Amino acid sequence: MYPKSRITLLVLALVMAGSFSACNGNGGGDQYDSEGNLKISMRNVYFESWSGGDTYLRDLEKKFKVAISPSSYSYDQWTQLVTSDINGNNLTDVFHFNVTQFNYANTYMKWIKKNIIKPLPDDLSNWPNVKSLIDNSSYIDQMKIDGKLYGIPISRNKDKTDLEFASYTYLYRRDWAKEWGVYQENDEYTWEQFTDLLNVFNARLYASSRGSKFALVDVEWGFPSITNFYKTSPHCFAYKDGQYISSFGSEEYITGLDLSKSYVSNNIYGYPQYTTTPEGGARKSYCSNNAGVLYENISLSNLQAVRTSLKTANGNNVNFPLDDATAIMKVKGPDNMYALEGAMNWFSMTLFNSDISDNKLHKILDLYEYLLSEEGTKLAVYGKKNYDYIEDDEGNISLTEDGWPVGSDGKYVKKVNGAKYLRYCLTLGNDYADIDPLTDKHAFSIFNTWQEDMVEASENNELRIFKEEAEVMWLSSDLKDRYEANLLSEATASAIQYLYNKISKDKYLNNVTGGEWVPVLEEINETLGTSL
Amino acid sequence: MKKSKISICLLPLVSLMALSSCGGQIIDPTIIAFKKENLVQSSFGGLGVEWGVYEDTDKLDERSRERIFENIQRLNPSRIRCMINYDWFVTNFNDRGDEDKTNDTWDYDFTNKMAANLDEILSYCQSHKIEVAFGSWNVVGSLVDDKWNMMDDCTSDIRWAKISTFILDYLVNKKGYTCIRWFVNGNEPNYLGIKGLSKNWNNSFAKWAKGVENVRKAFDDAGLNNIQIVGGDTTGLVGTKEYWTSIAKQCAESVGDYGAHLYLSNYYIDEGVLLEEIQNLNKDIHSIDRGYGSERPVNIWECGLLDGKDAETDSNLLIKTVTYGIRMADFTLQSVLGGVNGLTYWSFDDAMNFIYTTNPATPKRWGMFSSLTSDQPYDQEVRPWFHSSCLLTNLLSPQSKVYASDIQDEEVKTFFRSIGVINEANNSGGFVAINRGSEDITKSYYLEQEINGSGKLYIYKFGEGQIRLNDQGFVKPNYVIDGSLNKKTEIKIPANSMVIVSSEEL
Repeated sequence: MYPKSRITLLVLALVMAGSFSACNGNGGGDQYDSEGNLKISMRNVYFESWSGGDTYLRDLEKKFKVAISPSSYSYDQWTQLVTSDINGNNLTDVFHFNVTQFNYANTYMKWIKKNIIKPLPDDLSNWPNVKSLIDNSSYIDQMKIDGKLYGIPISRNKDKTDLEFASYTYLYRRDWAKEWGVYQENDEYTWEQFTDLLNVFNARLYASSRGSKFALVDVEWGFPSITNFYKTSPHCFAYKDGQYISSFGSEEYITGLDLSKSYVSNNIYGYPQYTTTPEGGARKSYCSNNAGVLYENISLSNLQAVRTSLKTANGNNVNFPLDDATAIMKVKGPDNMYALEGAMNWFSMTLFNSDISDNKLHKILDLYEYLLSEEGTKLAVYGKKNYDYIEDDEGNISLTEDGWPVGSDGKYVKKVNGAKYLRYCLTLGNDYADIDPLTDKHAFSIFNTWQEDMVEASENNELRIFKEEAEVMWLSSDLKDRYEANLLSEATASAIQYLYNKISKDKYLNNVTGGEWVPVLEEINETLGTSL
Repeated sequence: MKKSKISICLLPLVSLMALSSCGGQIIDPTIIAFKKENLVQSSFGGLGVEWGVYEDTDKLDERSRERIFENIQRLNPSRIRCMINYDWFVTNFNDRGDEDKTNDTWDYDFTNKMAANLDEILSYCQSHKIEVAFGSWNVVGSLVDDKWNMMDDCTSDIRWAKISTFILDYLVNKKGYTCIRWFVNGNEPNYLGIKGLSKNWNNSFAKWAKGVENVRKAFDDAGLNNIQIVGGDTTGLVGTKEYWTSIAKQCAESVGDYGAHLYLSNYYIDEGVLLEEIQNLNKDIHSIDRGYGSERPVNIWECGLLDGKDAETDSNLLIKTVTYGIRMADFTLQSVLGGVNGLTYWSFDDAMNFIYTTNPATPKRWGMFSSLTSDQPYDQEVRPWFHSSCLLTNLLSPQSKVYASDIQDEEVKTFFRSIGVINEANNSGGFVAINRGSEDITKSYYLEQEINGSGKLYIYKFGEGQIRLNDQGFVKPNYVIDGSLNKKTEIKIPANSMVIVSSEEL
């Protein structure tokens, strides 16, 4: 496109005097850029190193007359960075935090009391997509204080809001299982068959490698996963015989813990978990052909990542049996049921700085509403219509070469798409995984099949979902708020010490039932009316 | 004989006419005339590349060095941007146990491998008349256990000006590297990053401007008056506009240009949006600072394409494609047509910069080739965009005149770009035509301004399957014919390709 007025070094065409417009809308503190766009700062852990500037963000900015400044957190420092922003009065307009039942009282509720975060409008009828997302979030009533909700729970999958279980389970080397004669059809294992497999893997791996290969490795936060088949609560408080007790001190948990201890002793758990290894070491071990079974959060993105890592570790050899090397294992416990941890259908929350005006909040909600719409979702997933993709009259989508070049590995190359990043303020993206050009369709199929199998198992009463009772999960009481996070971390540490013979069983039991456990449980049972 | 016809002839006017926007004159859309009144650059600054100090020259061997210098010679940039870390050269820091920064002391050490590499690069530039924009990526200090405490004040810290002046004085006045013409007052000051991971996390325009003020004064006191300070070196269109607006209003006299980094979605390039964005920026900033675009030219100090970016490794997965080269050429043309006086491409060599969050460190693969000894040949070899860049850097020499044409063909405006170029001496030049459409285009070209050319025309084609290389692996003409840039020359530009017609071998 050629300049209508000629622009030279000596004479620059002046068409208009662009002056900075400092108009202030109906929000007192609202700031506008020189084009009259409302400035909005947003920070989210999933923004990675995205700093804006892409054409998709520009489209959204033009559509909504906003100027968005994105920034991100590193996952490792997420909590510290949010805390630092709050303490330093440096909070962005929109920020992101992993609100859980453990930190709920000391973060979300505290921020509400201190007027750090802003509530959503009571009436969300102007934003039906956003409203639907919120209404379908689990435990949403517990998140409301005096009827108000102070953030948007980020949906794991807004099209599967009924899923009650997490995907924390086992990947395993089906190829080795087949080779060593312990494979079971359809990856379904009874407890005995699972135990057999672990023993065979142990003999074939640990013993033969002088301790550098392992039968079973757990992601650091999930160790010891064997307890999952016994315990009735994933965290601190289990309900038994009409009252709440320490889950870590329960008979069920101890049974699982002792079995895990034997696995440590006999090197099934040969990998030095929580001793000298850094975070991520267990997965690394599996991805470098040094472990037979991996317990991890087998989300779609993690599954794709593991597949990619294993493929690379095996020289990108087309003959490497990748599907067999990343099979999802279905294990029934001693009670002949699958066991999966219960999960909320959302993870983390998008929160709003209380300093922002209603005008700004409404503008943000307008943007979010659009991103959840069909059109907005297409912008986030495919890009621009008639540039990145073409849609025919029947709604069939075809990707263009310009918009979706293919890399040397034959896969579509990732685009920097601000609409996609912004949509992470609302969902984790699993709702569009099946249509996303960047999804490994094969991995998606594997993951989806497993998930459907577990849903069916649940319907057939073959799946035990262990979760904390809602009444205690979201209970906010003085001692519980003060001590719960510590109780959890100390109990976990004590379990590991016991597993590795650093403390006796008596000491372990004392650590997980004595001390602050006593007054906390007293307070819980009294508050909830459950007897002690 | 190939189907693309190149002949010198007078073509009859076709019946399809298009109106120009200037006074209703009828223009033949099949003839691209570069007329004197369509001058867009009377003294183009030149094209270049980021050629910074290599973070680890131990990863290079003798053959690496040979290739580096062979390639830079072929590329023939008129300018480079060369960045260092001040941390490499300052040592023995002593804060005297107090908070007074004015009495802090430190030493300088220019005996390490980074200093040696800096010498190599600057020596080459000095002897080959390549102008250099020089600076430090960040302030001094470590993200872990920081002793300097410069990250609070960033470049407004008084020690920044001190260190900058010492180093520039050393390089320019003592070592004689007068090729250094610009100083970069910190890389991308508007990209703050995350505290704990970025040294820039606490920066602001006010701090940057204070830094510029301090540096300007210190430079002038040290006799470094010929070194201009880059105005901004900001990243992104939005952030750049904000900074440039503030510069224009508050400290225009202290800077030597308006400098930016642009990494853009393919869409911006493919649909001609970049040119519109630059024109809008020009209008806005010039309305505040009359020296914008003249006393203070517009320079792009880093540029590249966003699509294909791998955030984890800060690499571009499409860097080896021909289309990357075509887009970067289009990027260049749109920028030049918009009045950008000079561009430097990111980057020259993968081996220069690494990402250290992986183990081992990963090279940032966004270069024109890789000189790493450990790399496989398919990574080492020059990439297509090296060839297209060579053509452009050699054609668009410093002080060239650049012309647009006044064609206003509504059918082609979004996917067709073209410029005419005449060198300073008026004895060589050429045309560049880029066709981003899906159909071949045939146009006739001529330059109105007379040039005393060689009587030959060298035709270069850059597109899939069209690039011709010589025995050294560098681009060569597809054809050479007798002709003149002042006579209408019919050129067929294949779909999604660039054609350059030059009166000299590039």
